[in-house]
Amino acid sequence: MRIGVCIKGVVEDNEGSKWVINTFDEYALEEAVRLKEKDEKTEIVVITVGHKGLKEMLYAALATKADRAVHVVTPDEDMSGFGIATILKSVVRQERIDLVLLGKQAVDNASHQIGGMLAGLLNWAQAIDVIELDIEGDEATAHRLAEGGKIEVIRARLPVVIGAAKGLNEPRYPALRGIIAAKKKEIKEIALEELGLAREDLCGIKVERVFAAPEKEACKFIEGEPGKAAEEIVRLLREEAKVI
Amino acid sequence: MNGRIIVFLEGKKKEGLKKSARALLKAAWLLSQQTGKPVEAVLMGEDPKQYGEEVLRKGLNCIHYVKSAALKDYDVHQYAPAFFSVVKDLNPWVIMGNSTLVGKDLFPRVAAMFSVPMISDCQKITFEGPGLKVVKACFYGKKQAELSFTGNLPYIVTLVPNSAEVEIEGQEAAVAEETKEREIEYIADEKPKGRLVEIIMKETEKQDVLEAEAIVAGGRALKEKADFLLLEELAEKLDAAVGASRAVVDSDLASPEMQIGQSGKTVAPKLYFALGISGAAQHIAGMRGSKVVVAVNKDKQAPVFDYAQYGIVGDVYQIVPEIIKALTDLDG
Repeated sequence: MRIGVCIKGVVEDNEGSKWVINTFDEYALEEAVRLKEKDEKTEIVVITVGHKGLKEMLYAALATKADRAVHVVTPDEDMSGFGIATILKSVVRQERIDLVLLGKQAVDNASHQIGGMLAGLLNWAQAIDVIELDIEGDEATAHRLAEGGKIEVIRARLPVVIGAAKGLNEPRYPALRGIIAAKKKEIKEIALEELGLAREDLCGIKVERVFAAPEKEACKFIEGEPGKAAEEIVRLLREEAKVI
Repeated sequence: MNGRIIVFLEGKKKEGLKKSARALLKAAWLLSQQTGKPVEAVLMGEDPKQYGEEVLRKGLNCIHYVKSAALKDYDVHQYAPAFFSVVKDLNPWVIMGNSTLVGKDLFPRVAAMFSVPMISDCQKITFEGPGLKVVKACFYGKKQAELSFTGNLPYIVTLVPNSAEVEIEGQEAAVAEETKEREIEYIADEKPKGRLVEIIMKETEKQDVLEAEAIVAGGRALKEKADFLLLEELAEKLDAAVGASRAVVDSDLASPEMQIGQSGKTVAPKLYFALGISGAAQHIAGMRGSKVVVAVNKDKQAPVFDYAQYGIVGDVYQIVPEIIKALTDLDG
């Protein structure tokens, strides 16, 4: 089995300049490693799309039991989720991937599109928001979080796209040995043109402007001992804000 | 300029349409008023007509009931092809849904079938001829972006459920003279790519934070699982759902479906109680659409107060029982 783990680089702690693996993609990577630990014949290919600065992040991913990486190098960030999914589809086909693991969403822009779109473009089965995964032969069984705390069990023959959620596993920190070994692993760089894709087909959404989220009016602090403050807040919610 | 506004409506067994579906309809009407385009709804399920009476009163141009035993429970492998096969023939200009757990799962796959991009979690949708402009949160919710579509039709969007921008009351809906109804028998995919084989229920089904008009959310100040009972008591008084910040979910005091924030759910209720929540940017991103925010925190400098209309500086364990008492007195 060949597993493709799609990872996105996000800026650490939402500031600074170090690019790290999106938290949800770490669950996906860890799950791939666990599957490989069960069956050593499994190959793990890490896939990312983005600028050259993501190389360090790829080495961090390769410090696990992942075998190699594919980096689709594109400098611009104005690509739509559909554009990213289209690129990933080409790589998944080219690399003959049987199982795609990725985070259910990115932590920065949280659009939660890529998994479902990729499955749709490939016409594969999908299970997104997965907290438990079991692969027996070529059959996948996934538990996904549904409304009202329910869990839906999805079963499908491979190939399948799995979107990892928190709870799927507990990612391990790579050992020093892994970090050293990572430097020897292959990172294949590909340009969009090599995938037969044109940049203009991968956008479709224009960012008109980005602005600071509007400030709310200053907070009205309610003073006094707890009983009095509680009465006052209830009164304000009823008479002023009219929400209760 | 033609094309239609297509709305994917979700029902909730027995209770009729989801609240978020009503808010979504309102957003569709406003768009219809701005553009003169007709609004048509798609309802799917084993018996989608059970919601028909309610939808009929909403002044839509047409309701499409897509019916099949295979659509009894939501499964993307049946819902996506069923929805796509119906909507593709309707000349869609915009396809709208909610970022509910169903919408989040369904819409990306549908967008792929249409071979177009989509924008998720919109807080606001407006027509700016000839296109569509939407506003959504980005960069961990610290910023907002205004986006427009530049590619092929249809434009696919999902809205944050119950976005406060969408007032349900107030503005009159554009009422169609006559609502057409159309029933479509969906021929289920006999060999779907994947299959929903089981639904595991929890013992008690709680109100989902995505559907609630009021939310009582607890943060780091809560020390034990049992302390959430206090929040549940307050929630009951307010007919609210109970939510949680990431910190308390991470420490297993609350379950993941309760998590509000960038890596949890994005909510926009009318009333949001942030109790013992400091207000990290990631949490704010998930609740800043709330109409009225009440914050209770020991630390007056906590960022949560920057986003609250009303604040009490104090101990959650002291304040919350008093609020419950004040609400009880109100009932009496």
